[in-house]
Amino acid sequence: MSAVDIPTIVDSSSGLFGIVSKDADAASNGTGVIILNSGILHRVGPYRLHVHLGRQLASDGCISLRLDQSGKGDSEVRTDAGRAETARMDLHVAADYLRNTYQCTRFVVIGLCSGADDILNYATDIPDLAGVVMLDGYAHRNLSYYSHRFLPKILRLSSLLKRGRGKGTLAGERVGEDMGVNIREWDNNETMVSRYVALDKAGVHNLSIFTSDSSDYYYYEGQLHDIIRSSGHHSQHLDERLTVKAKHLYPIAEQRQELIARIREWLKEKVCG
Amino acid sequence: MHSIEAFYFGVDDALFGTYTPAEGIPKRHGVLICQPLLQEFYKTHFALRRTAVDLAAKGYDVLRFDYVGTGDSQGDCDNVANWVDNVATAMTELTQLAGTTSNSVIAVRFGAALLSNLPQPIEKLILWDPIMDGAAYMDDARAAQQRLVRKHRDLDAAEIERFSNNELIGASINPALTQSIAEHRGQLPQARETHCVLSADRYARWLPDSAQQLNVESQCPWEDADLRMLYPHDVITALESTL
Repeated sequence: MSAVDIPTIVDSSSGLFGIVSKDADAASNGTGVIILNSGILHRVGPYRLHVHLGRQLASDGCISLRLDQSGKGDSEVRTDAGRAETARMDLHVAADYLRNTYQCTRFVVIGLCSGADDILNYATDIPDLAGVVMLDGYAHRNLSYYSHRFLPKILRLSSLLKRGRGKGTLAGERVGEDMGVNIREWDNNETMVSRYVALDKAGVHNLSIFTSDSSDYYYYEGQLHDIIRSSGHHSQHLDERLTVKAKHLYPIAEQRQELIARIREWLKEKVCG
Repeated sequence: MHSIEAFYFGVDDALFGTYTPAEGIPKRHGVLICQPLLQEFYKTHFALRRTAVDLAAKGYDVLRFDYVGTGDSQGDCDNVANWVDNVATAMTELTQLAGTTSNSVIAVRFGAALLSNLPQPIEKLILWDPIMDGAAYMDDARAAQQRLVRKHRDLDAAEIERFSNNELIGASINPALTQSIAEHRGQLPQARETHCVLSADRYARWLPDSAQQLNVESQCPWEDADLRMLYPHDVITALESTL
């Protein structure tokens, strides 16, 4: 692997900064991958997740950009637009940059925590968007959530709980807590689900992975499919995974490497294949 | 808008640096910021970026950089001596970039233990909760790793054992590196003035008698393995005003 990192002013007018990874030895597959900030962590990502992910995707032939969204990391704060408009502009400007500079013809956006929220809230209308990877993104409790989480307790199946998910998040814990701030940005359930539906109808592949830290709102693999189905749409392009043993920021290196491998395989199969 | 130049430098262009040149009337004085490691690196990035921008606005030329194998830098580190060399390389880079002959250093936590090979005397040495003893630092890091693993309540016994012994705050353990850190005893370089900003008295134990101490009220929970951002205004104000 010989990925090269290129510090880049993505947009000089707003001071938007990021680092591009490309690999001259890898045949380009025309895919630009934008990796968003996780909460207020800078572009390196939690425990360098974004660095390793970006470089390995470059070795697969992608052009990756680990972006500091406006006001985060080494990017300037935008004063000419509000939060929503800024987030949308950042994403579109980043995609345009990859298209114009590296001739990318399709785009994948990856985000963890608030990065996943930003994808659902602001990235769905990026031209030539081919895929999204959302880590601990949006979901909401449905009836099956409660039955999966609490029915075993009600039935006193404590032995099953010990072997299964029963040791999940304590009451009061929230996804994002490890970064010390509440940085989630969710509209009402109907609006959020409609965005998933819009992505799916547009043919955008969606890899959504949840960890045990999301158990306050997500508890069983298939819950996101069920939520979307309850709106009257059957997802065609959603791959949904629950990694029970992982925590929100993937502090275990082995689990982080597994996550990166899963994303690479998914990209090869669904987007770049 | 602040002018920031980001680039790779040093041997094989392995080191990632962010240079914030002086604004207005330059003081012709360079400031090298030596970041902490492990979880402390993430916790302090925002605060140190803010510090760099503020100092540049006051006329200082400021360089931040990531040690080899950390942050956006390339490569792997297999001996703490590599990081000590990185500091010297970064100071040379700053001097060449800014054309300064007068330079100061801000070093945070174990960053203070990596200053022993600086190529020239420095004007002011400003430390934030320094830890100079590699063994003590590794003890703290291993304890933090144990706490971090215990937060994973769904792991089996074999995984707990493996993650406790083979990893350290998000990174796979390189035994040669961790051994060299444990054996490392940092030496502070020659400086016209040494200042130390302390959030707790226990960090004063490695300081020379000549160091001027400034105690702040902010709590800095360095031992927590999470990535909660630290932005203690009194610390940042102290770092900047000391220059």
